[in-house]
Amino acid sequence: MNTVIEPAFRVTVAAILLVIACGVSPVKAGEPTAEEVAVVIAQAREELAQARSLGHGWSVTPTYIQEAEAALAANQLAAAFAAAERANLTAMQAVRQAELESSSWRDRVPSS
Amino acid sequence: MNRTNCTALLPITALLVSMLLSAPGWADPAQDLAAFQNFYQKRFPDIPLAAHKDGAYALDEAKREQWLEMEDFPPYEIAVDDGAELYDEAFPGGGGYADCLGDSAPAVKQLYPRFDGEAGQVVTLEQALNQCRVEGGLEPLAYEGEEMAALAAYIAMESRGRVFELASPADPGALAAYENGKQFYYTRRGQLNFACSSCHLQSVGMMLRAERLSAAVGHATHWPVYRGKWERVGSLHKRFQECNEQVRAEPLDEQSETYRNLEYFLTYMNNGMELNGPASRK
Repeated sequence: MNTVIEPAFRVTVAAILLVIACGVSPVKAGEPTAEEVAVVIAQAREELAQARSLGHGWSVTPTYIQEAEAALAANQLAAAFAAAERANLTAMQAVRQAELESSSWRDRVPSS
Repeated sequence: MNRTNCTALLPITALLVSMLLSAPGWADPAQDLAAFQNFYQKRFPDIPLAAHKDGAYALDEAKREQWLEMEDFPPYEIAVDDGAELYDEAFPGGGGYADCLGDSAPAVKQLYPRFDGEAGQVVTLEQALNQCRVEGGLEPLAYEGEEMAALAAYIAMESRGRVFELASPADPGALAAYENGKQFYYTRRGQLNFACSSCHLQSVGMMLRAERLSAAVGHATHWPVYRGKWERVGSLHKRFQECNEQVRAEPLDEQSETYRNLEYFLTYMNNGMELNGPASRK
């Protein structure tokens, strides 16, 4: 009997402790910290600079960066993180586009 | 590797080089021009090449009728009148545009853009006009401003009926500028992953929402343009910016080196076409 109750008891105690721990934490469960958001914004800026240096900046990336910074300033960390990730992703895609297009553009030139 | 082996490789090397040069995208400007114009002749066998100077209105009869109605009272007329006044303005340092732009002035649009070997870059009509102003003691005009558009509209009107006969880019600098413009034209960019050629070669004649996609072979002939959505006359570079924005790419500045190179390539592809600017578009 003891062998059955003991694990269940341990799980229950662990669950209660987890709930208490989450309740006293200043960060909501699953929400990024301001530092994490700032890191992703910095990454996005770096990728955007690279895309621009290749002549391939996308107009949506600076918009997402602005949205991320505004949300960060308003302490809306989840929204800020999402916008920063979009900015980073679009900038990375722009760099990838530049790499692919550096040679593939020739395939579109009409030949006689 | 001994001499015998090297000699044996020569025919293979020559074959590879000739294959590379004959591959799409590696042709010289004259071959590009022939292939470019041939593409449209094959794509639209019933439409004379020269008719593409009217853009989408060469491809869509209903829209052409609406456009011709609009041309009865051309919305660029005021800009042409303003441009004529600006053109006649005497420079403080003496002379005027007529003295600066050469013998055929004011009908000079067919001469631009051209590659300036000394400056090592493409010079557009707008740059030449500002160069005249500065040499004559005037401040240069803003490229995106209405005064520059008006001046260009007057010169375009005076150049109507002339034909583009740009010299084939020959020296290394001109070829580099041409290749840069060509690469820009065929390169996909922006979040929508579109090249200029995606709309105006690959999908030419098709509908993009409510708009018929025009042939690029008439794209350099009619600028500047009064565009309904701009509610003013604007330049070819302003249209480049708009195209870039539409595919969610960051636009460049008017008269940036890349846009001038793009204009150089595009205008060379329009060689032999008659000028019919200024024009009106929706």
